[in-house]
Amino acid sequence: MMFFRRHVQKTIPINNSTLSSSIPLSLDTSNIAEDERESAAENELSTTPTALSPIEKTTVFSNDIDSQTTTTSTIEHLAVKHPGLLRLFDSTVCTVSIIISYLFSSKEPIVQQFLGRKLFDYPQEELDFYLPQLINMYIHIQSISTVIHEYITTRCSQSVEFSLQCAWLLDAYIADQMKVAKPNAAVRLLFDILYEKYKPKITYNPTTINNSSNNHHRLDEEENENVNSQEDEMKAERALSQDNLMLQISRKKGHQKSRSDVSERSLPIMNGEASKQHRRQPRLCLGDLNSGRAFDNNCMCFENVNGFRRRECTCNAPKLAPVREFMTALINIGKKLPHVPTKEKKTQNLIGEMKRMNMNLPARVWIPFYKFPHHVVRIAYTESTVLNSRDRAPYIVYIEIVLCDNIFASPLPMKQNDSKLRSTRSEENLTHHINNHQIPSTSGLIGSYLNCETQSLDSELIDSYRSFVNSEDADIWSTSDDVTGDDAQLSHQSVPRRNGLIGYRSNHAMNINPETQSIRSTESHLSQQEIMPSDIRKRLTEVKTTGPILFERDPDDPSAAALKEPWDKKEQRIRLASPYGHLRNWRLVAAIVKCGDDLRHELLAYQFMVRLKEIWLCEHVPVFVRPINILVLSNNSGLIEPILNAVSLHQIKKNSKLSLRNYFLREFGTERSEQFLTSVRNFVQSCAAYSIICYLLQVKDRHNGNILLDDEGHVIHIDFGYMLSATPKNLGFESSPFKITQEFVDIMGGLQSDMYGYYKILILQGLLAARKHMDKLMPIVEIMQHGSQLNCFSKGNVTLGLRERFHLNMTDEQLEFNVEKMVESSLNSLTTRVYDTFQYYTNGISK
Amino acid sequence: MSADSNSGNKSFWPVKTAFKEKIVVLYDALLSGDQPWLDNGHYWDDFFLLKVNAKYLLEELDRNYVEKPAILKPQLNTIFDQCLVFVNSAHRIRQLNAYYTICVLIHAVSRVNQRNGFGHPALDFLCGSEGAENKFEILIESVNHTFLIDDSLSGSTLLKNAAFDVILTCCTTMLNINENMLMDYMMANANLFDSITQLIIRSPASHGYDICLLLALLLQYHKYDTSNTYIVRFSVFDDEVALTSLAQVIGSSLCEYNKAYDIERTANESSSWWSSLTTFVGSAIQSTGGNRRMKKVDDCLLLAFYEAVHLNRNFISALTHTATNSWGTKSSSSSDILPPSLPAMATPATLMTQEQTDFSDMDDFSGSNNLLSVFLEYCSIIQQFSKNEDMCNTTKLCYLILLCITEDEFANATMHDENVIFSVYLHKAPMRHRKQNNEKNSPSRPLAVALLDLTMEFIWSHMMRNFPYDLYTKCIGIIQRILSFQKRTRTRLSYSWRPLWNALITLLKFLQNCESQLAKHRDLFQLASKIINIFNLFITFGDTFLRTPEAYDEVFYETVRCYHIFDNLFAFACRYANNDNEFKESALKLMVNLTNIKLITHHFNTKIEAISNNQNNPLTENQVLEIIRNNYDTLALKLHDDLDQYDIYSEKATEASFLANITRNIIGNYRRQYSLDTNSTVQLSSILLNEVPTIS
Repeated sequence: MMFFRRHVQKTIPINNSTLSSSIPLSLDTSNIAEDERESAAENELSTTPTALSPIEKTTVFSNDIDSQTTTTSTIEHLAVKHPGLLRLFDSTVCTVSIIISYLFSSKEPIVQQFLGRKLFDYPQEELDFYLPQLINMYIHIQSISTVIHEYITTRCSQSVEFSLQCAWLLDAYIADQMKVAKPNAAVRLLFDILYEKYKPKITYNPTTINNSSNNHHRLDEEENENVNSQEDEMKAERALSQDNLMLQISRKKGHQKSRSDVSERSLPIMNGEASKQHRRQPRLCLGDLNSGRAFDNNCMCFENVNGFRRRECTCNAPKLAPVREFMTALINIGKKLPHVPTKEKKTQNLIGEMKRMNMNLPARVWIPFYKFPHHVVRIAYTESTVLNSRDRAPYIVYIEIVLCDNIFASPLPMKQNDSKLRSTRSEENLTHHINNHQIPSTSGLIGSYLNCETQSLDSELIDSYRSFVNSEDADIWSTSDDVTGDDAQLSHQSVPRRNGLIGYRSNHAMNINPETQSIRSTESHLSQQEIMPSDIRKRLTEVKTTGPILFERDPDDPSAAALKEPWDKKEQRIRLASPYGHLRNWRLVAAIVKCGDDLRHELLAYQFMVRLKEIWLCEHVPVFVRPINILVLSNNSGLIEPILNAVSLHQIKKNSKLSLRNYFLREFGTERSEQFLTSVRNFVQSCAAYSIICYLLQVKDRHNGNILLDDEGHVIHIDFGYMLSATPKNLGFESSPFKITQEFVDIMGGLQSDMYGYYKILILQGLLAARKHMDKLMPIVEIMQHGSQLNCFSKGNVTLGLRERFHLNMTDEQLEFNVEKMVESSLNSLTTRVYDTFQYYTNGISK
Repeated sequence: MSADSNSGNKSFWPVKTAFKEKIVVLYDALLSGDQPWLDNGHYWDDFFLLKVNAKYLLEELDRNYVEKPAILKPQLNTIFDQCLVFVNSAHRIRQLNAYYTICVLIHAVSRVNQRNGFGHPALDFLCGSEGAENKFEILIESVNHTFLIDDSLSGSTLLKNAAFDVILTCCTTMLNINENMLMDYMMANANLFDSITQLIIRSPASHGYDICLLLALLLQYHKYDTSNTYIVRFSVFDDEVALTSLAQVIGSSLCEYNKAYDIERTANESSSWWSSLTTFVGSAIQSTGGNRRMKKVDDCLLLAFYEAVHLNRNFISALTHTATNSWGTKSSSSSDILPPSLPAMATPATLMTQEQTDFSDMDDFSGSNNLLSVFLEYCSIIQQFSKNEDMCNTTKLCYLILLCITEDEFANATMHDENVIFSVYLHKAPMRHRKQNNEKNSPSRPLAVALLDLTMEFIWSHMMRNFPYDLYTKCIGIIQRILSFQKRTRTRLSYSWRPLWNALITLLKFLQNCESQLAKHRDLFQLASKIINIFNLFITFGDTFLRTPEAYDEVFYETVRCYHIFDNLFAFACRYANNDNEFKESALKLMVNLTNIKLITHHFNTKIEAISNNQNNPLTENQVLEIIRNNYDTLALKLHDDLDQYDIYSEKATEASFLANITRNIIGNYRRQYSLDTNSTVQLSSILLNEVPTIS
């Protein structure tokens, strides 16, 4: 707030005094008054529960301001000067998009001022979409930076996520400017955010459900040494049982291996003071991956103390640091990888590094582009793999998360050691167990997440954990190498049991009578049963031929096999192998980490596509586009959301050695089958959408490695590194409007087919819709161009070119003709073929 | 020196007494029974300020113990008490000297009491019978405290080393660790466990070896009968970071050894092979400076490794943890306000330097340095020399470790994971009939492949007169455990099994040939049964773990091809089964186990003979495979139960004496090399001098 006050007092009066003499005074006072009100509101906010949905909160918040600001003189002034504008802004048709574009285009301070305040009125999610634009304006346009400063800092003080986003974007977009100009307000803002001058508030308000389940919480957190009078009895009981445990352990001294799931922590008697001291040790190790606590900021505000949980974080622990360190760690790995010689070695190193990351997990960190609150608990490190790229080494990681109510306040799942769960303790039971606990499906990622939020997630976490720890379920998890006790009696009892267990598992061994089993296992028995080697061989042959079509592992392209595996299968598999898999709200997410590439283009393309998608949806144009979520971390690194169940055309061709149409036939069924027809329709609809996008944005570098095909037949383009005015190496290949090859047309059914016609109609409809809503699309690009050093804005007037490609001056018929012409020329384009050939020879990407 | 002066050298010149070190004068006075501290209040302050002369003190103590124990005892007790006082002082030099003095005292007393055991009399002699328990508690407590000193304190490493000297001296007073009474005090004071696990996280590079040695020793004390708190603590220990550090300490020493061996080997490639071998085994590897006592890969590291895989299942996941460059070097400095990292804000220059430092240890980075793959390479070296008894023991320890690893489901799963691949180079003993393969860059494969190759190599290279029966049993056991894991989990490892079958068949043949030498002492039939059972696994459960149907054909091909070996084996077993002898039972069992193979060889041989009689040329391999493929239908085999069952490894039942022996060797080794580097006092004082301002 202090920061803001300084601004208002210095800059705004100067601006205003040039306009009229009467206004500044009132404006100034109103500002300060508002300022105070704001801080009051803020205080209030800190006590208001965050459990309210964010939307509700803002409305409460903004209404509050609104009621008072309406009287301010800015509005009066605006009403006098631009009555039309004011009416527009106050009307219901005024969207965030309009506000942002007016904010950018208006040169009048009064209007900017008004709009800067108007930002508070809109739902945060909608504005967050335009955050890159806001940040870019903040950096490059001084007058705007003063009016939106308040909005940004207020939001920063409300949420850690927003602060993080701001910091990353500022970092990324300042970078260019640093070369030419001295640090300015934006740099100051960046540092203020990073040093947490705005003190992002973290509050926690247990919901009623939470309260009722609090008992469970506490019981489970007895490691957190909270004693509740109610539970004293229980505790005593447990302590007793632990005594027993101890007795057991000490009785069979010199035992083999810890058999039970006893952990160090559950042996309080032995650990005594020492471990507690260790836990309280407030040593910050942020960023030190070898410490095991690299993402721990030592905030313990929300821990249960004597049954009470604090409502607010009061400590001074750095709140942005954990996630930032997590991202830095991911990026640093990406920076090291290109120096490793072969693909194989790269992946090996990656796995090793991920394992090291795992030592520091679970932690209160999250993957920012998955919007549901979650904690990262583990990285499925053996699955991570390096993606195809010639000089850089982007890689994909599969991250296990656990959904939670509140990232900062919900208890973290207890650390589980990898070896706690061993894959073969009676798989059947395990699967069964998981299925019981699993929430219906794992297919639609986000869809299924929403289902389960009806109940408090934390209590689920705890409940299932409890069952894991001390219910009879735990039997399932106990190791199979049970006991070979020291006294013979024990072993006599246990060995038959073990044999029985394994016998149950084995598919062949039947008629096992555990009693008659000898302990000496090597003395195998010849049973009366006969077995036919011909059957065995037949089964072996079947294994080979009946499996799903999977890509073979290829040391030069380790990602192909990994990406081809269907997501739900993969999730299931990883869940089974994960020590956290039993948690009901366990989820698997994936992220691509890219370093050395500027992801700001991708972000721009993402925004553009999201808007287009909305437009097509509301205009009922049945085309398919799949925008890829991007997290820009700096000007040369970031995270990309991977497309699930999709592989590149290059990988398909290389692995299946089929033409695309034949691949479709093989994957989706015969020509007349329902599935095949649907997939072709999907293909056409997605092709049309991406043709339009590629045309409008002039996306280049369209070789087969950059075009994916998903398991429903959709084409999805990735890698928008070259668009608008940029081309790869500026060679000027790919002069055609977009990429459509004969092979694509073959999938549609040839030039004479209905589907091909449908494709052209869709393009026309899509273009018409886009043209209609052009004013929603243009500002995204326009604002980002301002002051930008991005190479997509490097040549010519990019926005003008973009505007021209909407062909405002054409009638619908002319446009139709134009589409026809474009498709024609693309199809017959020599340069597309030349480029594919070029890629084939230089990068080995299949034609 | 003093002896010289006393001998009364009658020369012309007045007797020139040699200059005595000040401390030596003090020792002499103390040992002769004086009580100088009564006159001089600062006596002990001065005493502990002087550098300890361990050699002299030790000698004098030995001499006095024999000559005048009555005088010595009260003096010793006083010195010991004073040491305890100064061990807890804040003055680091005195603390260090007090530690060293205690070491010498304990060592001297233990040396003279080696016969009788370090029991009450020895203890009484050292520190008085009253309150001995208390005194050792104080000692251990202060050692503990020293272990946890912050690294930033200058000289902390020296102090910690001295503390290790004390504690290790205590642990090694007796060759038989169970007779060492001091160990009881260690058991009573389990805080030691917390401090060493903390320490291995903080500075694995400088204290790793000592920690492993200490841990290994602590875990051996009364392993099977009384309550050893350390065993309990260690078996449930689940601090991933500490376990990883432990794995890296062991892994890096093994890796060092492997590298040194490699250098030695390539250097001597041209010269005669045998000489290089003997010089290598004889010469210890040069210490690399990092570890002060590291001379070669000590058994104690392997013992610690063994205990870790044997007792602690959490350790298994650290096995494949790839060691990265940075352990031990990076100390966390961010204690107060956190400087946010800003990649974009950094000036290009600093960025550059940052990158350079980051990649300076790139060669380290590109290696696959995980404990298990390094260990497999190490095994391949060690097993070449198992003729040597000492090396044979080490090999056995290695195989025990492998046995424990293959019994662990998680370890097996990791070893079979197609994503977790490493390039493991296995050294092969040079043999006349095969070429040596010097290529270091083998392709990366799952670790199970390397392990199978290792066992195969063992089988090939140890068919010798001095037949290592025990090792063979372990080796076959490992193969069996891997196969039963694969069968149980339906894991289809991509591995060409043929060489392994050939090795096993050759081993069977060898067993028959050497009947006369071997059968007297060993139950060959039991070993043969195990081998046959491996074949039975392939034959009756091949569908669960083989990758291709062709591989299944090959099993039959190989058995049919070597039918005479199986026939002879059957006949061999028959001989023993039919007359009364100690092996009758196992011979009978072998015959039962051979049933399927007999059926197969008989079934296919008749078919093959029938066809080969019709043509002149001998049949080609493909023709035989064709015959096999066509004639499966008419063959029925018997199903064996429990082929994938094995006796779970139990240390107490089989290996207790072996491990006791290993422990004895380790202690003996430690005592033999016993030397206190008291010069570190000088180092410490020079360190402290450099930071005068901070000393108040």
